[in-house]
Amino acid sequence: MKNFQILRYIKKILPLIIVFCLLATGGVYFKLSKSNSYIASEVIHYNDAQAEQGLAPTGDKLDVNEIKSSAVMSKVVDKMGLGGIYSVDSLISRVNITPIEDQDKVAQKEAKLEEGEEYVYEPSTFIISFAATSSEGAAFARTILDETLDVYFEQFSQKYVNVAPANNTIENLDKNDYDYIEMMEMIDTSIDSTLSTLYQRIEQNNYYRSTETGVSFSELADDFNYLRESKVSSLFSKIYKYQITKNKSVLISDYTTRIDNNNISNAKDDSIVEDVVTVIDAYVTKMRESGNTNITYEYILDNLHERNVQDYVGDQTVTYDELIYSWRDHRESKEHAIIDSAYCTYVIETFANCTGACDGSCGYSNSTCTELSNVYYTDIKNEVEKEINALLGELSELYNTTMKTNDEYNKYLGASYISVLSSASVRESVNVPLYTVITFFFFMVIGCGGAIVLGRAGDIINYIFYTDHLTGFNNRAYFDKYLKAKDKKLLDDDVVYCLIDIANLVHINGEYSRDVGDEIIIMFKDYIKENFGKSKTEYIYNGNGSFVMLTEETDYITVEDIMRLFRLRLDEREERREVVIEYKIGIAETFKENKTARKLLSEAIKNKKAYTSDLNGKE
Amino acid sequence: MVTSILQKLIILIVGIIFLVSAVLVYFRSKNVNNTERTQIFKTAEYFNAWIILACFITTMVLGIFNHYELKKSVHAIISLNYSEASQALNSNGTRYNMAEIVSDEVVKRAIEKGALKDVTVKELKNCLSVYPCVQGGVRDESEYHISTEFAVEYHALKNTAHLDSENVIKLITAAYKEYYIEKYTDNFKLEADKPDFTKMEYMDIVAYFNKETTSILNYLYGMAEKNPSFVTTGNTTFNAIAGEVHQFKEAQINQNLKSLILQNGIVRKQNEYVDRLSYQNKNVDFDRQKNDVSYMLCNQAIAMYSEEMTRIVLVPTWDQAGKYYMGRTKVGVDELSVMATNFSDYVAANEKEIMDNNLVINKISSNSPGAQLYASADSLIESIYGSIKDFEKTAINAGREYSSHKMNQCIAVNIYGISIINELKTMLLFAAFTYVSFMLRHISKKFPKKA
Repeated sequence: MKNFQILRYIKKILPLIIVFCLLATGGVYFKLSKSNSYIASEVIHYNDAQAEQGLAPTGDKLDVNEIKSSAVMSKVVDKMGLGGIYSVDSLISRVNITPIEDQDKVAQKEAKLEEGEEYVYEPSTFIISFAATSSEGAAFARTILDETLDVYFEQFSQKYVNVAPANNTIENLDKNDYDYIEMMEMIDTSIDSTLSTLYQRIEQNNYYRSTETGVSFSELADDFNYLRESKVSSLFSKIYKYQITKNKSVLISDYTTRIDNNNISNAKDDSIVEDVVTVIDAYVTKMRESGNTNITYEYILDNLHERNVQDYVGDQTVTYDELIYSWRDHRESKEHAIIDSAYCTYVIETFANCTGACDGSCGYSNSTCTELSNVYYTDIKNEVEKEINALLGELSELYNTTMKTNDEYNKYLGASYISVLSSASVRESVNVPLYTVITFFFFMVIGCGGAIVLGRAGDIINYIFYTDHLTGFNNRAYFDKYLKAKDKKLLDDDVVYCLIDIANLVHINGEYSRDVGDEIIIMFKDYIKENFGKSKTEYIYNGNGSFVMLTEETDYITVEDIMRLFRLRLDEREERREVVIEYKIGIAETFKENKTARKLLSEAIKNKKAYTSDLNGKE
Repeated sequence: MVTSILQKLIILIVGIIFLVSAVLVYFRSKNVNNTERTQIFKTAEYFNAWIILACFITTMVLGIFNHYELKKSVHAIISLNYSEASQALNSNGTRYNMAEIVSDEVVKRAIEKGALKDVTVKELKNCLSVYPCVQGGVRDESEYHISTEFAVEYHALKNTAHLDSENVIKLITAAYKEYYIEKYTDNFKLEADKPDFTKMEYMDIVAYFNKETTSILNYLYGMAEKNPSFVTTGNTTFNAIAGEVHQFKEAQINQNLKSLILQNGIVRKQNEYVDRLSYQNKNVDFDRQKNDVSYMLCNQAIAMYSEEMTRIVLVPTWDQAGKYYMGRTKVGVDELSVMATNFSDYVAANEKEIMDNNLVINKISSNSPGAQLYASADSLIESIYGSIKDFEKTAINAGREYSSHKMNQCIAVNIYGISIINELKTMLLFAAFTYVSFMLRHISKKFPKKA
């Protein structure tokens, strides 16, 4: 059997291995590219000091998962016009939030907890990622992530920072059947509430100016104030002066009910105030009796000095303060209700007032005195209606500007409370080039391994089926296979077939024994090998003392010389000199007419010449 | 589109020639032996004039089509030059979003700006892509990066093939720059229309002027807070302009105009205006009563504190801001005292408002100004209005100057067209491939078809 030579096996099918590897690698590359996804990631950090306690600026629990809430994602879907293409849930499932812990803080927390001290630490830096499929592309992943964070920043500010609303509550006021004075009260209340919101914003950031609307909160407040001073008060005075109402009875009933409600509320407050005073007295008495009031200021000062009062320890309102405060609040509520009732009485008196111009008929009528007596009443009423509508228009415009300014302020606050540490970067979930290279080498290893296994298996098969075990040459079966394989192929030039037949092998076997015959065959094999040396030759033992040598890259003369040397060697042999060997040698070289293997072989057979090696009597 | 097809067709034809020739050589090589095969390759005319000419012509034709195809793709680099960009913020402090570069609004502006025909926003948007020139990573802090340069790529598609690519990218970047400056840089709202002063009460005009000048002052103080030392080309600062406006407001509006109107009782509709002020007084009086009650209640609450209990709570200490207060808590006496003072201030303010209104009512009732005074007031109003508009322009110009110089125009744009070197490289590669294909075809003919 042939030696185990790895390179021989590999070399044999190397082109096939390479082609297989390239095809397999191409397939894997295609599959990886198709199934690959793009992951856009951004690092954000909550700047607020309370974030590390897991709290939002308002003190509520900070829930980072709000980034992928349906409230945020549905806005993203709307903003990007993806409605009907993507479901909110499918996008939510692709958002991933990974906290990044500050290792120093974690170590500090563990140390404190080990000592039995309370220590709260929650990560305030997070990686936000969004995964897009290969067909959606990297740009899609980046855009969705950008839009999601845009919406979240704004929502964060709305929910946790800029919480006071500045909504337009009077938008459809003219469509509802409110009385004029009620409409004006609602407008006034709305302006009042908007102004207090705006003043809060001014206090937070006096010089903030929206780049979109070009106005600051302070300018908006000025605009609202201006409208209130000039137009709202003007309309109020007209309505009062001309007793303009849609329904006098309803109006008077409404304000009378308000007075009744205030009276009930006052009675309730009176009772509460009385109770609070009783509790305060009882509290003080108990404190006095328990000796707590005898504590000197030195004792308290010492106590305070022991503690670091500069460390904020939260609300320290004591029960006694709360009781006093409660007393004040209820008294204030009662006193304000009394003033409100006075205002209601003023409204009722204004609209029920009779100047005498109607001859007292307004007292029994559902119309006011002015309505009955002033011929211009309808014109004035229409004018007031028109002015109210104009005022509502102006206010709506102002509210729109306020909303836009507020929206931008929310975005601004969101970005100042949450900073971006690393802007959106996109990477592939699988490193396709790397895995492609790995795949190529993997298949190469598999291919080469396979080649070695197959090669060695081929060697074993060859040894079993295609090798003559006496000579070690290829056997007849191999030669048949060879001829069959060469049937449709042309031989190259410089191919020489050489045949050697031991003609009297049967005789030798009979006369000297079969072993001698075998010895002669082995001797022939050795001399053939020796003489053909390193030439490119395939050796075949065709059975019955017949040898075939298929030599390439040579010529007739060379092989003829080799045969001459072979004969000389045979004639000078030391072994079995007593045996007379008759043998034939046939040589044929490829020419135009005999370019196929079978033709060349028959030519070689045709060219056989007989020789005898008889050493008897020779020394 | 046609050029793209022709370009691909040429490459396909050459590719087919290469494949067919290679297959022919492979199969026909079986009809000859090694020696003959070697001989064929050795004797092939490698410098065949016809092959070289055919190769040259094919390469040139492809080069022309390739040039037309490349002209369809251009890209631009948008750099953010303002300081907030390094924090991933717009210049107004909101979060920067790169996707806005190719947003519907920007694309629409570009189409309008270039009067581009037969193209919709969606079609043009499909040809555009944007990505950061440098992107960081998130695995490690050292990889963090805030992108401030973005590449915008345009590749013409079927619907936009009729547009000049370079022109489109120029329009997109210009539209974005315009959009960005409008949306994110300092802005000051201008009053669109001049109000009809003849329909406004004189005292309302004073309030209106006050409102307008306060608005200008606010803008200037805001800008001064950003950069107090910025000097405009007119050699002035925001604070200097604000000083002028403030002086003008006090002197011209609150002294001259207001005094003229008040002292002479100048009014358009006397009864209506007096009624309005009376209503205001009534209304303010309700507020005054409420504030007064609240003030008294705060005082009463403080008085209610038991002596023994105050001894416990009233200990001198200080709060987080470093201010001293009495007791362990500010909610008690201290808080009530502060509230009482506030309510007292409100009461005083209410009373002042009532007194002011009464003064106006008295002046209006006791005066009957002549036509000359009305003319003086009207003339002064016009003059003040003109001055306010001038101040407005000065303030805006100073603000714009600050934006353009100090913020380096916010955004810089560089446009990159076709690279001749890249085109030449492609042509050389294709020429080599064509030569090999044609040569292989030539050699394949030399092999016998049969053995």
